[in-house]
Amino acid sequence: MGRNKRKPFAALLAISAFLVLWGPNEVAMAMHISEGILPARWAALWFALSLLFLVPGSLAIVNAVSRDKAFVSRIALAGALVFVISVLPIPVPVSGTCSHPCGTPLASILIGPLMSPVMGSIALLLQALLLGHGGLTTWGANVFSMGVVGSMAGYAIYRVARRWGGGVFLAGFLAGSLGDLLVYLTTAIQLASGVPSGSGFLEDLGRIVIAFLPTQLPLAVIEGMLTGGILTAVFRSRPEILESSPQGLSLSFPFVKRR
Amino acid sequence: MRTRKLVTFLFIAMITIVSLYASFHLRERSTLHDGEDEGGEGAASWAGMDEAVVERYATMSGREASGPLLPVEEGDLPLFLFCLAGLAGGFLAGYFWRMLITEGIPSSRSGTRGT
Repeated sequence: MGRNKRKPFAALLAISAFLVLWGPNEVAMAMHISEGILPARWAALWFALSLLFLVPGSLAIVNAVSRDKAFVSRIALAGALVFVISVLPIPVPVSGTCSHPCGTPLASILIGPLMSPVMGSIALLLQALLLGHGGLTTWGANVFSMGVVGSMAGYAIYRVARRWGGGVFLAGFLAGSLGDLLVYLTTAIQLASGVPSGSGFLEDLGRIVIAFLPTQLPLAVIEGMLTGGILTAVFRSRPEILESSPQGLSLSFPFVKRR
Repeated sequence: MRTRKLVTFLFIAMITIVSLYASFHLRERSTLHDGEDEGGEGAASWAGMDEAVVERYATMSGREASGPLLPVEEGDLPLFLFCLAGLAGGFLAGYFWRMLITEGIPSSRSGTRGT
């Protein structure tokens, strides 16, 4: 492996080491909906909606790994990235609060929009069990917002931006930042619909969104830069991972033959 | 190429400035954050969004967050779980060591170059 090819891996290793050593604290600073907040029927609804994506995603992983054993390492890397990024508390001085990026937009671009929600669901399960981050009853809602919406939105935005002539960094920036904001918008919708305050859905939604945005807007920029930076490093080393659209789709959807 | 990089840089710089401005502006309009100040914790408590927004909104709407269903943070249980995970991970890494490190994956099976 040449020196130029080693640089992105060294950068990724350094970022990972930083995230692991200084990232997760004892007290989780999360955005996930905590245990017991959603009523049972809403929790069940989000579970069911998430399963609609997790089942084909799991099949896609089995299908892709059976065709290409080396794909396991990419899935493992994406899963580790989602776990660490989505538990990393970043203080935002503007609002005096902490929050974290999602990581699923980046994962969906690396491994496909169907497999990424599965990685998000595993990360959220471990966080709920080990870190008190989110909850088991609200796992479905958190998987849908962070795993499904973050992945689908991030992947779609990246593809559209690339098709319109955007560079890898810009497309990754847009996917990461807009995907992050859409995740929080989904969480706000889940809260406003499942826990109404009595003043109307739209008013509740507006109140929650306005409370999220002061912290989340700067974080969305950070997540965009992180996503764009990592994708640029990957593109310089292995451009086929990001640029082979038919392969990417065939790896993501289990019943589509690879060309 | 340089022009394209410059345009990208300016675009992202503009987005950053707008998001910071909007963040300051919306911070003053947020009723949930105002409630936090009244509670005496202040803006510099560095609470997570679950505490500052999600749980605060839920409390205002008449619901409370409960404790974890499986309390695994008691005593030495976290240490046991991390040791168990380390043992399993170490066993797997050791079992597949040659495939992971020295031999790589045979090209006939993987269809790509080995790791």
